[in-house]
Amino acid sequence: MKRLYPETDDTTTKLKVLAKKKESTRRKLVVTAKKLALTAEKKENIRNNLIITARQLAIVAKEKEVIRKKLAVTAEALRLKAENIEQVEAKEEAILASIDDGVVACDKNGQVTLFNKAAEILTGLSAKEAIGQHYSYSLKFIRESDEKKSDDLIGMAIVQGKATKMASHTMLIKKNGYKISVSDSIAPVRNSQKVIIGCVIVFRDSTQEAKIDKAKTEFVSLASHQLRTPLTTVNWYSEMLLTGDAGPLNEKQREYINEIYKGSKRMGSLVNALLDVSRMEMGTFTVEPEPTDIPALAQSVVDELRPQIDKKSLKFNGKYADNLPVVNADPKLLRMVFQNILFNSVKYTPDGGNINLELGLSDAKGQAVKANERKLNIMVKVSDNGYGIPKINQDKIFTKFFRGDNVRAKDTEGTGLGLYIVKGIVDQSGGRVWFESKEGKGTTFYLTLPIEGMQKRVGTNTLT
Amino acid sequence: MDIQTKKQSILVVDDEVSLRKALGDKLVREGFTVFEAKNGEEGLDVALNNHPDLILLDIVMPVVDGITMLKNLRENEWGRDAKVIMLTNLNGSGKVADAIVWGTQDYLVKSDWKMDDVIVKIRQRLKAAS
Repeated sequence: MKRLYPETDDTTTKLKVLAKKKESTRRKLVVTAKKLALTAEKKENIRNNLIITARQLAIVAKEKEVIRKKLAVTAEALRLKAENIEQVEAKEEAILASIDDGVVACDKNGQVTLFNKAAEILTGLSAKEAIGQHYSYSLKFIRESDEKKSDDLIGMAIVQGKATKMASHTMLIKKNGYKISVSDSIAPVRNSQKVIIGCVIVFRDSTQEAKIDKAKTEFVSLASHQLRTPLTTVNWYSEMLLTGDAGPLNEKQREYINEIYKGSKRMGSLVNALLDVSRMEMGTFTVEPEPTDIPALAQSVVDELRPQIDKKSLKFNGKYADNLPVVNADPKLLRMVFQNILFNSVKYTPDGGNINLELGLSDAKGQAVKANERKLNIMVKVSDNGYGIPKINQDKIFTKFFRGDNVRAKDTEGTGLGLYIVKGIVDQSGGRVWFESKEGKGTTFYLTLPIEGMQKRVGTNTLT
Repeated sequence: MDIQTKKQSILVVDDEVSLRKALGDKLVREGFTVFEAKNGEEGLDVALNNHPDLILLDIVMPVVDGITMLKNLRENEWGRDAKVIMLTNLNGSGKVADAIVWGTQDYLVKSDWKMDDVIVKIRQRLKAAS
């Protein structure tokens, strides 16, 4: 058979091939389209992720900006603080440099950490030499009396945390061996937890003050000596006249000489009292504590006053607690306290009156306590039913030369210094003295003395 | 044989004429022999030449004061053991301490002591010494 249309088979084949090709291409296109769709999807996802990331980055960037701003503020604050600290340090350095007193600070091991300009001048050592060394290297304190090392109050301040003043008559040995009088105070330094981390010593050259004090002391001693000498003449010649050494006296002569003698004795008491007041005010009197039996001391003063007590027919009652401990006290000073208070009671209680003396234990306010309680005081109570102290005079009773209006009329002889001296001694002993009184009814004096007793003090004189 | 009791002698060293006289008169009336000196230099001289049984010694005196005289007295063989009562109107722990250092029996403040009590004190010291 002949093909009618032979080209048609070729074309069909070609068409078929073409169709196949097209199909293949179509299929490929579909795959590609699918791939493109996937890619587009991926792109879309990536784009979305990028958008999210961009947003997150934007947030982070914002946060960073906030942090950056905060850091900037903090940095500025720190800068200002650092500037402030510098200014404060500069101010402190300027203050320390301008203080005439030596200022030395130590850590808890006693190593010097601060040594100001004045300390350099006073010791002769530079801050460089002193800082880092133990304080004993730069601060060589000795006692003026024997030139021996002073008590280590700096060590005690660090260990016990006690603020103290060095005893008067302390000297400092400078680097060149020269000695100068100093007065100083020492205080522990604590951190915010109240733990001791060191101490501060402040000291100054008191040579000039010491010279002035010495001059004052010598003046007072000499003045009292000069006043006493003519008084002694009057006393002794009056005594000799009264005892008949120059022959018998008539009644009038005896009476007049007695008045001269009494006046002279009164003058002598005044000189002694003024001397005591002067020594108290200058702080130059010695305190020499020793174990003292206070009831025995009080009783000995009562025994001294017995002639006056009996002369006025006064009823005296003493009540002394059994459990009173022996106390470290200066017996001379304590005797003066008892003498003044008891003598006043005797003097200002009319004939036939009552005087009571009680000794016991109390707190600092005079309230009774048991022997095992802390913060004990010896309590002295002297009460009488005498003239009393007018209310209007009561606030002045411990002042110098003051005497109540009601007693001045009855007795012109008192110095008005006794209670001032009593208060001075009791205050110095860490005690208290006070009273209750009603005019016409009587007076009660109270005084308390801490059981730890009096602190020793080296002075240039004793009280008379 | 007559036994004559030797009077005890007191040396009064004081620059105040009136006080020296008052003490001197009183001591003579009390049966003592009295030597006098008006300052520490004279006092030392009289003491070493007469060896009194007891010396009443003031402190504040011109030329040589009482503490210096006491110190010089103690450097002498006889003076080392001489009985001395400081009789002064100076009241100060410094002077008391000085006097104690150089060895004094007592330190009396004149204006606080009656003459009769001074005599009693003198007799106590002389009795203790014998």
